[in-house]
This record gives sequence, structure tokens and C-alpha cells, in this order.
Amino acid sequence: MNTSVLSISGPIMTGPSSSHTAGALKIGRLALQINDKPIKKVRIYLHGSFASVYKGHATDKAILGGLLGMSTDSKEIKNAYSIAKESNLSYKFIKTDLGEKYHPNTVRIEILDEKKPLIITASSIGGGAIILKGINNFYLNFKEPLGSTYSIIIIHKDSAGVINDLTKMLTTTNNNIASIHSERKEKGGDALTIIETDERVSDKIFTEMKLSKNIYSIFIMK
Amino acid sequence: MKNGFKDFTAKEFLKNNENKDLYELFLDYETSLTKQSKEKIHETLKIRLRVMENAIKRKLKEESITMGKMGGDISNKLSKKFLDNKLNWALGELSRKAALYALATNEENACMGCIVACPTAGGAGVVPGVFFSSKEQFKFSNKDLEKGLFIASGIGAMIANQTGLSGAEGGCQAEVGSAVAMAGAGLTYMRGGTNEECFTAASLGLKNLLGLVCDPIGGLVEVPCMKRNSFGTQFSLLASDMALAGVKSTIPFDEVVLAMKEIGHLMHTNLKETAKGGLANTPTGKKIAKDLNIEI
Repeated sequence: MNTSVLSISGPIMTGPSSSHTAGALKIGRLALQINDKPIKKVRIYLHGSFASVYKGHATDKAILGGLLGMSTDSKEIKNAYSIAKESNLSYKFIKTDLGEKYHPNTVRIEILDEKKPLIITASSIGGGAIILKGINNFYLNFKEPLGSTYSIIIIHKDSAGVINDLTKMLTTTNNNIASIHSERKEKGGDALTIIETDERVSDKIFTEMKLSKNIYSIFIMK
Repeated sequence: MKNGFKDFTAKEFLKNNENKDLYELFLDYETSLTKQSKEKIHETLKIRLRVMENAIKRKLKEESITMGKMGGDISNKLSKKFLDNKLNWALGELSRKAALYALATNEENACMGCIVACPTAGGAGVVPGVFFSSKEQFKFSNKDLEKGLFIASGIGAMIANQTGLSGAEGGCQAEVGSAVAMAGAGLTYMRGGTNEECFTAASLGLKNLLGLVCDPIGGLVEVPCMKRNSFGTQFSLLASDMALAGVKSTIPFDEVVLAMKEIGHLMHTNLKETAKGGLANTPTGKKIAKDLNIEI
């Protein structure tokens, strides 16, 4: 594991806890980013230490703040409940036990959407760092990429040519692929592909990728 | 390892790089890992130091109440006494200021103010406490502080490379313990210490906080966290003085970190940020939680 020096003295954040406030907010914001549109209804499952002490660390407000797109140093985190109400975000916090294999600071966010429901599982591992542990029924172990690499995470239909279409689009801007990982649940079912690139994908290419055939969901993790 | 070092450990840094400054070593590691320029890194460090200093100033100027009502005005009240050199104190001015600034940072944090996690929010007071108090005594420049913060962060990164920094994973030794190691090494570097003396200061400080549990009342980052940061600064100052005076650590830094990791694994869950044991489980601790309507 390569830990960045600068990742240690940071983030600049609103208190009181880097794991239970800043990290929790980042998980909420990641869920918003993956969902790619404002969230209307969520169930938030808190596991381990998150379930025990979430209120005192404002973990609940931080997750809501993230789901509403706030940043870790936002002064509005403390007002997340009223802002959620104004934004028509309906939510429910549920204490749960996801089992021993999950880090004690883990949350599962279930976005309830008739067309495109989404389940995000992520852990806050200390100092504001987070690990994405799963999207829907795909199990992941995905740390935020460092510095100059960018990761594009794509949920798509398992179908011939999907990955070819995506990599071709990247080639048009000469964006080099550092690594690629793909898996599927069943033939013709949901598939997940992670492409790590050297350059940030341009907005134009990203939009093209999003509209490409058989793509359900796509986002960039930095 | 891709960045020219076999391992990101103190042993590796000390083995083949006797003539290279510790700051340069961490810089080589970081730039090859993240491809960020030296200028960009220093810009980030400068902003973080400003946020740290502002948090201290803000809290010493204005009183407020923390979320759990267990503080918010302690550092402000203490400053009126601690900054008076005419009173007869056991500790010197530097020690008192370090304790005061650390407390102010953590009170600001507990009031949902803006701070820099260093390495975490619960342990955020130690590095600014040590740095901004010693800045005045040793006349450190802003550039010195930037380099010192980078060294401190490097020490934290070496710990994080082996084990988690959250109280939930390793107890308070992973938070305040790591912060003490970071501040001790950073201060030793700024005072002109050798690479070995920097790692020694980190080892001495961390060794004496091994086993420290995370047992906050009601799960809030207030008691004992806020004052514990003040006490942490004293360990960093002592570790730096001892290292510069030539005292060695019998157990090398990398092994102290592994001991911390092992102790974290052996530590009962009730003592790892769940508010189910220790101070949180005392009659007074439970009463405070109950009065705040916090169910554990």
C-alpha cells in the first residue's frame, strides 16, 4: 500500500471527527457522484462504530451533507437536516450489522429510485480516507486514486463490444490506460468495469461515454 | 516499489541515504507517487498551516459551546492565566503555549469549526500546538513550518502504510499517539536534527502512548480527547529534546509502529471508539451521555 504524505495532514474539515464526519461526508458525496443526479430518497445503514456513535460525531449530518453535495469544510454541515428538507431529500437512518469482514466505520447507502436503484457500500478508514467496498452486488476494495491517475468506474450490461466502445473513445484524446478491470455477475447481466487513466477524461468524452450503448452508470473517482 | 525506495520505512530511509536530507527523501517519495510538483505541495502545506493558525486564534478569541457541552470555553479561560509569565508555573512558556494551542484546536473542532485533520480530527491539536508555540521560541520561518509539517505528514504516512489511524481500528494510540510521533519528528527536523534524530523523536513519543484506548464520553470527540491533545504536545516536546540530546530508542521506529498495530488488534472493541468502555462507561460518563439523549 502506498500512502501519500500529503494525505496525512488533511483534509481541511469541519469537526468533530475525520473518520465519522469528514470521511462520512465523502462517502455521501461519492454516492451522489455515482448516482449522477440529485437524490430524492435514501436508506442509510450504519455499521459498527458508525452505528454506535453516529449522533455525537454528526455522522448523520455529514452523510446527508455529502448526499447534498457539500464539501468537507462546509459550514452548512450542521444544518444538513433542514437543508435536506428544503431539497426534498427523504432519508432514514438504520443501525445494522454487516458482519466482521467490514471495517467498523462502514455505511451502506441505498438510493431508492424506481428507474435506477443503487446501493453503495463504503468504509471510512481514518483521517478522512475512504474505501469504496461495493456498488450494488459487486464487491469492491477501491481506494481513492493518488495524484495523477483517474479511475472511471462503469456499470454496464454484459454485452459484446461495450469495453471496446469505451476504450476507443479514450483513444481519440490520446488518454493512456494505466489499468483495466472487468467482471460480470452473469452472462448478459450487470457488469462492472474500472479503467484507470493517466489524464482526466474530458467532459466531452465523458458525456459520450455516458450516452454510449448499454451503459447504466459511469463516474470518475479522483 | 516504484519510487526508488525498496520499502517506505524508516529503516530503508536511514540505510542508504545518509547524505540525503529527510525532507528531500519524503519529497522524492511523494512526487514520484503523486506526480505533484514541489511548488504545488508547498502551496497545499501553506494553506493547511494558515487554517491551523486561524483555528487557534479564533478559539482563543471567542468562547462557544461544544456539541456535547463539555467544553468550548476552556482554552479561552486558560489563556488568560497561561500566557501570564509572572505567575509561578511548573512548566515553561513553550510547554504552556503548546498545551493551550492544542486545546484551542480541539475545542474548535468539537464546536464543528474548521480545522486540519492531522492525522485525524481527534488528534488535530498536537501538531499545531507544538508548531505554533515553538515557532515563537525558535523563530521558525513559514518555510521552516512547511517543511516541518511535511516531515510530520511523512511520519504519519509511514504509520498509515502499516496500520489504520482511526480510533475505531487502533484506539487513541493510533490518533493522538501518531500525532505525537509526527509533531516530535517535525519539531526535531525544524531544530536541525539529523534524520535519525527525527525518527528517534517519533519513536520515543509513540512508544509512551502505546496502548492508549479510545473511550470518549457519549462517543463525542470531547472528553478525554480535547485535553489529551494538550498532554500529547508535552510528549512531543520531551521526545524532541531527548532525541537532540543524543538519547536513542531501543526499539526502532518501524517496530514501534508494528507494536502499535498489534496492540490495536488485541484491544477490545469496547475501547475502540464505540463509547462502551473506559471513561465512557463510568457512572459520570454514562450520565452525561444520558443527559444528552445519546444511546450507546
